Amino acid sequence: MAAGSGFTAAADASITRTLVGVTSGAYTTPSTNGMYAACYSTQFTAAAKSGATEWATASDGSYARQQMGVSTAFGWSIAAYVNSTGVVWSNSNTITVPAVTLNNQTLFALGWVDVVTLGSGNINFFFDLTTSVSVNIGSSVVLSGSTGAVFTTY
Amino acid sequence: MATWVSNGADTGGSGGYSPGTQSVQYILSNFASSGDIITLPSGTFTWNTGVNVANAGGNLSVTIQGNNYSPNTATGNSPTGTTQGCGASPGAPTLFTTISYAGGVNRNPADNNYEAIGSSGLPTTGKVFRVTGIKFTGVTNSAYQYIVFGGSSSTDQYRIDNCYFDSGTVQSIMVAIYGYSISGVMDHCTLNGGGASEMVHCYGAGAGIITGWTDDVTPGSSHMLFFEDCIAQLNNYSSATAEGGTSMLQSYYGAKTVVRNCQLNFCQIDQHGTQGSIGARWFEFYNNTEFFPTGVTGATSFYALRGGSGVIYNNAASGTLTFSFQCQLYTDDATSNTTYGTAPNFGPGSGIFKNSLSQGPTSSPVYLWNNDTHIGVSTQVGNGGWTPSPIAANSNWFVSTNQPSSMLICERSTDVVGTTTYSYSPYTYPHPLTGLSTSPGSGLTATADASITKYVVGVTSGAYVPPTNLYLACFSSQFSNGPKAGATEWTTSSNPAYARTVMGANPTASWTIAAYASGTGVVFKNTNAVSGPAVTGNNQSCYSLGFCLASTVGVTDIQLFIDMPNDIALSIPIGFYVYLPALTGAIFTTE
Repeated sequence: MAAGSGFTAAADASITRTLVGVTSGAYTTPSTNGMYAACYSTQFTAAAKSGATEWATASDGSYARQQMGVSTAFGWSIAAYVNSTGVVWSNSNTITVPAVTLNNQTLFALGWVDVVTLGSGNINFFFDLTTSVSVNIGSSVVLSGSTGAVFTTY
Repeated sequence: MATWVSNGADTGGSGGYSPGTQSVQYILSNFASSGDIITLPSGTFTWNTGVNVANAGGNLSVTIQGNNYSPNTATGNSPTGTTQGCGASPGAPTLFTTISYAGGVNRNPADNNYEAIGSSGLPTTGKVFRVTGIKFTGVTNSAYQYIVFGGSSSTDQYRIDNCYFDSGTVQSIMVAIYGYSISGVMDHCTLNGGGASEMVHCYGAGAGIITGWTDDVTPGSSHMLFFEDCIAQLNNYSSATAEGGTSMLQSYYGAKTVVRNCQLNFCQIDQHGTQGSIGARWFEFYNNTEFFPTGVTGATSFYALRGGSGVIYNNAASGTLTFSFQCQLYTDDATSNTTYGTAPNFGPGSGIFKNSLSQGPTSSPVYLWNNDTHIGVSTQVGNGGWTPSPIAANSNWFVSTNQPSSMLICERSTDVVGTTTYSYSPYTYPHPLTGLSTSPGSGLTATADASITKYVVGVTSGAYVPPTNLYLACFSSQFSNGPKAGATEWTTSSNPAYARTVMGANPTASWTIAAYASGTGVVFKNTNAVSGPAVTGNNQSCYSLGFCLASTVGVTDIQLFIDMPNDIALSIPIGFYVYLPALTGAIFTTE
């Protein structure tokens, strides 16, 4: 399946509702600094934009969703709209997921969720890796500041 | 491509290149190649000889550019003319370089006549001959021009833009263009001429040459002389009482011209058809507005069509509309000239010459539609005295409320008189040479794109504010696929009945939103039919629709938009209205 990125299918629908003023099923804007990066062992894919499997503490005892940062911009740098490019937004800060313990992990996608608790919340946007990456015990997933997660609205 | 800095003079200079110390001609003759730019500094420069855009190797296609101006990039017809023109025009960018050229002192070596900038013909280098950002003033006689150039169907084109041509009270011909198959554009220029000026002459193939009537014409194609987003005006038009034959342009000898989105302040557009001469071949005049001052004392010409064929539509009149304003179609032939053969005659409505013979006086009718109700369509007795005029409705010309789905044509060698039809669509606007071409877009506006992103990630400052409802608004220009912004909303001053229309009652907000579908995204569309108020006041042009947060007209709170497809604005005449059918009028998708 082709790798994808951007809004999940669920977020796509809820944001549309917000956009036109429909309240039922509308997008819930995250609370202050309430966006967390999460790791997935499967892709969301460009078509389904859903269904990826998040890492679990049963396999990686130290795994936890990571807050994007504490700042007025909530860890995101959002550029102004650019003609034929759209709005580009990226992580302001370096995000480091705790080093893997217990078992080697497979990283195939990253997602951004609106709660810290594993298994809960809404996955709002994501990006798939084109090929999966092995993250061995002792290694960490690191998203470099400004370049680790770059999205565009086009 | 090189940029050469001149000292602003027309002649003079010596030695190797020295920036800012040598004349335009010296740089042209010694250093420039096609594709290069020659700049002039700010200031006023008196030219007595003018420049020949050529060197020992032949003619050049260079850019002659004034200093430090901001080009006018506005597009689309404005009833007040505020989006068009350059120089001294209201709202238009200021020009800092002025060439004062009286003419009559020294002949220009380009053609041994008198002109400030002359070229005997564009080369075939694949470049663009361009003059930009300069004010021309001081001409003292209609025999002297500011710019004269020509060309054939070659790979070189021209662009004259962001220039101000002024002859004050002098009757003038300020620009002359030769060539029946040349292509290029004059855009964002202002032409201000004295009474009876013929500000631009389009000379086609030249006097006595029939070749401009023997080639194929494809309506809506590029091989024409385009004039767009310009202002042409009679000097001191606001206090004038009669137009006096003052013309933005006059076309001759097989010329093919397009005038669109221009403002004409008390001046007409004329297509020649003098008996024994060779008249204009083809015209497309649309989305132009002519302003008539309070002092107007009688019927006035908007278009004078004496030869050729074409289309005239979506034109408006503004100002004092007490008297009639005419699109006149007539012949300059004498009554005795009842045979047709080796020269175009019989006025408008004749088409291509095949084997050097005309196919008849009504072989290729003129079509007119959706022009302002104040613009009458009529015929009259022409200079040849043919009485009564043989030029008639429903043979030489057709008038309709909307564009006919098919129109008779005989402009190509394969066309058959009375049989071949065409479905017209205009050439790309803005003209690609302007660099302002846009493609229709739809979806989130740039503003909404940014604010919804903030809303998504939880940033509160500048974040999207979910509406309680959305309102439909109409726009006379595009948002376009690039900027997704900047369209001009209709106004109540032009259309007193205009108002934004609520999309429907809460809580559904009248949008039908489908579930996400793989490869499609989320499709959402208007649940109910939505109708805007019927147009009053003036005909309107609808180039895009917007969906806004508030009902207040003019507030820049547009969240979603749809440009009309194919770069074509819809004409909404008085009494008609914008209507979105339920579930099909506005359809968006997130992918």
